[in-house]
Amino acid sequence: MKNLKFIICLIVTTTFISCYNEKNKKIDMGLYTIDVPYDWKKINVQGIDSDVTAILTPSGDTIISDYGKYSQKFEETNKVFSKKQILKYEAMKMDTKDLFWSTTPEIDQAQGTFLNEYYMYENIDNYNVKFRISKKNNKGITGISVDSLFKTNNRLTIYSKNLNKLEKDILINSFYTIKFNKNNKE
Amino acid sequence: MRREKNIQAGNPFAQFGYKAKIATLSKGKYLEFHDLDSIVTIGTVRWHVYKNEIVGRIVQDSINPDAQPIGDRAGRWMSPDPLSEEFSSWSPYSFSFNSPIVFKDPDGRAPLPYNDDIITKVSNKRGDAHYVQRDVSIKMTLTVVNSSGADLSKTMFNKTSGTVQLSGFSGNAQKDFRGNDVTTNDNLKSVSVEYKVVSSLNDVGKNDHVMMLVSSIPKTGNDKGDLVGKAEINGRVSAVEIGTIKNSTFNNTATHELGHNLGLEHSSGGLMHPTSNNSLSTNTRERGETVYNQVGPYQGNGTYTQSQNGGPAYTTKIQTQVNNFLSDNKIKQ
Repeated sequence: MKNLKFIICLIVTTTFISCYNEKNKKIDMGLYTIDVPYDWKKINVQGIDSDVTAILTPSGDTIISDYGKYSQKFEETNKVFSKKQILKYEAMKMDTKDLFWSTTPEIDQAQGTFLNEYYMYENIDNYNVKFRISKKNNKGITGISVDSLFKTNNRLTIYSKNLNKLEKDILINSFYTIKFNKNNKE
Repeated sequence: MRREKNIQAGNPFAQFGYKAKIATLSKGKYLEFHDLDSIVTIGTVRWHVYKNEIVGRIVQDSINPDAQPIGDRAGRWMSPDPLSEEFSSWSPYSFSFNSPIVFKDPDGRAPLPYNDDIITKVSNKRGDAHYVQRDVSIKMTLTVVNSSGADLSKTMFNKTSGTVQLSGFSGNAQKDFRGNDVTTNDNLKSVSVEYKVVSSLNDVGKNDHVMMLVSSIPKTGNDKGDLVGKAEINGRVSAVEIGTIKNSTFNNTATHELGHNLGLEHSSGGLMHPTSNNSLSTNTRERGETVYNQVGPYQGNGTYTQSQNGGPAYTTKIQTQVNNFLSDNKIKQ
């Protein structure tokens, strides 16, 4: 019985995902096109000092596309201290509650263990794209950032906050379908 | 008898008929009390003890610390310096950080820079080469150029001049410097803007920051459309569309642009979100970045100005910077 339930679940999930794949659509975001599920919608938003467009997902999350000189760069780091250092700062009556520490601080520092997101570079449509992917579902930022797009001073950052697992996976796959509209210039 | 007379010369109660024990060094062998002058000083008055009348007054010179006020004493401070904690590394005898060309001290309380600028005060520094905590307060001088005479009565700049607190910038400010392996975790106590509203670019001070109120700001790319603000990151010039006053987004837009001037890029929430969301808050990292753009991780207690501290935007005349900014961004005034 349990096996039957599992098989039914598997079939439903597979059908669901395959439907998603079948019903993808291409959205023209002006600077680029991206393939997203049919029920994701492009919406108009007012940017303050940069070109901003957005995509609304069925669960109500917004994927922001921000193109300008001062879009986000994804340069988060944090220092990992040793226990000895923390004890020293506590003895100096300094505030240590926001600090990270571990028994292997150098390794955790290099691996970014205490960051909320993973980072990597990928090649998408011949552009070097920096990925930022949240480690946990429903928490953190998932997005990409492209520096000096179209050889201008502008940076394109596309991101969303606190996505659930399904939408996060779909968004990451969608990023690989981006085709930049090369007619754009400053 | 002579000894007793010498001792009783020092008895302050003699006129009341009391004999008190008087401490002497020679037990009365020598006369040790010489306060027998006919004119004595009582407070600021010179008093003639035989004539029973005032024969002179001492004028106190309160400006000159070397003046000798009450009781002919050598120059002394009237009280401890109330700002001594803020200037613990400076002698109370120094003036204007020993740099009277860079700093002025109009009321004797603290040295201030001559020119308008971003002024950062750092105090209470503690820590070591890898972790630093300080108390920091930042003050920006801003000139708002309102050449079209727009009504600012419902905005944050509703007077001809005044000070506004950017309360969203107050709080814990953290930045990690990987290159130097040092983390700062400062207490950003306040970020304030001392502003004045003028109608002409000529009225802008030499080291002022400038906010231009303009009619239209075009989009960045080929898209047709409209933006409502523009600013130089870590620079001194910003622009805000006048239309934002009507739809009540002016304060949000203006503070967002000042955030860029203070060195912040866009973020996924709060004040620096790329869209107008009525939030004026910043996060710990952004506040850390704000402090970093004024003082480096190793800079200790003291007062710093952005122009003296290596600020990038002070080499060109401000009027030239504004005109270049407007033409580069195709902004119509």
